[in-house]
Amino acid sequence: MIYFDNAATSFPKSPRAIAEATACMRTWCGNPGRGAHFLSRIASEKVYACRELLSDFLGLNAPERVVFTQNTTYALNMALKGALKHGAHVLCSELEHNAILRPLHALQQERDISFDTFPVVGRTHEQILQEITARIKENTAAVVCLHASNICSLSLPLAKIGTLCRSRGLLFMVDAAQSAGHLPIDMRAMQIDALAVPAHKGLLGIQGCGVLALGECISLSTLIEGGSGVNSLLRTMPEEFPERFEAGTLPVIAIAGLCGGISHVMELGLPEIEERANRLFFAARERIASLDGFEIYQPDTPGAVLLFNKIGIPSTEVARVLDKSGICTRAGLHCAPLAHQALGTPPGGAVRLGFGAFNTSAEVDVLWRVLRHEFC
Amino acid sequence: MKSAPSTAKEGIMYSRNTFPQKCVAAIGSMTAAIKAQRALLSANISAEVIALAPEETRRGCAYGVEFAATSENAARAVFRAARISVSQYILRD
Repeated sequence: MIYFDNAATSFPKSPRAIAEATACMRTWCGNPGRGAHFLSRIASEKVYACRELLSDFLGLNAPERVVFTQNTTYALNMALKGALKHGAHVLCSELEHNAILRPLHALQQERDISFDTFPVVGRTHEQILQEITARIKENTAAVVCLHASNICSLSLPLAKIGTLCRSRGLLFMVDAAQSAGHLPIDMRAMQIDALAVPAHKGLLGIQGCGVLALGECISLSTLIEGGSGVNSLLRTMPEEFPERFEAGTLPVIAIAGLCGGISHVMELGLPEIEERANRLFFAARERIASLDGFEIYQPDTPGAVLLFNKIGIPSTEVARVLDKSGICTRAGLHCAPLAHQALGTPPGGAVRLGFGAFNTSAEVDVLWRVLRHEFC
Repeated sequence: MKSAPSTAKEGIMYSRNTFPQKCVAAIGSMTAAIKAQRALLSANISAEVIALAPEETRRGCAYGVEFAATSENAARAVFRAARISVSQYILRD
């Protein structure tokens, strides 16, 4: 089996993530922040250690502002619905995933929020900043955008956008679903107010948790309420971070796996991970481009994602044939319809290769041979 | 626990009849308590996270860190430097 769907979730799972999650289930899987017996205390300390790791890794320097969520989508919903007030205007890029677009559409209905998209494809960083600036209105409250696309390897200049946001008094919220574990993130340097991160993609953890990292300048209302382990006599959630935003029992096993995954990523090093992804990207681009009738989107932007089509054949059919040969890819619109429009793919979308930490160039060769055999 | 009101702004509670051995800083959440414990350990002050009885706080369940009463002043300085909010200090025998 060859797995090229790491943009959806990493596989195989990091041995460290497996070891940490297994150790959690076998030896310390108490309920953190619920009671003071030794198993609960150990679980609390392990969870705190993961907050510290993330805080350092993301340049936050505030472990208590690392909030664990169900996944990245949940984290983005918490940030958007917790921060945006009635009548606010929001800017997002044309590459956004439905994890941002659908909450914004819902807020349009519920709170009369409006939003505009700014173009990214074919623009320089300076041009992107100009496009954002040109769309800022009197009631613009936030710029909400991804760091890296989930259908190509384009990324946005976060530090520059963060500076712009700070200078204009706008909140800056970032979807790092595809970049965490692939590209450097420094929340303070990039002036990010809210950052949503998955455990199970670039950070090599397991499914079951996400992270919402909150800067010092943002205040959020809660999305859900419930037990927090403290202040039980109050009818409202406690003010303290992160408990304020963590109603109910935490996904401790997934948090343990995340801890293992991050340590794996830190050992590999982001430069090595990025270089490996670029090598695979160029190898795949070269092989696919050598075949007749294939189109590659954003071929000059290397990274962990490569999008292509066999002209005249539905992307789902290409993915099905690859699947029959034991190669996992993902076809269609990838929950990012606007992004596909921006890249000019056909209505049926395209085939996505998502490279991960464990892929090899030999696997790219196998992909190429199957494509050549089946479609040329 | 000994309970007597204090003039200190965090609300020290202690008895003058016995010399207290332990001091508990009531912190609130488990996360903040662990942060406080780590800050104390970094300053070479041995500390343990404990659960506070609901009747010890005004809001119900909470956590705190317990350390030697002789380290109270040093602990207060550590908490101030680390911007850790303490709702009250409780002295125990």
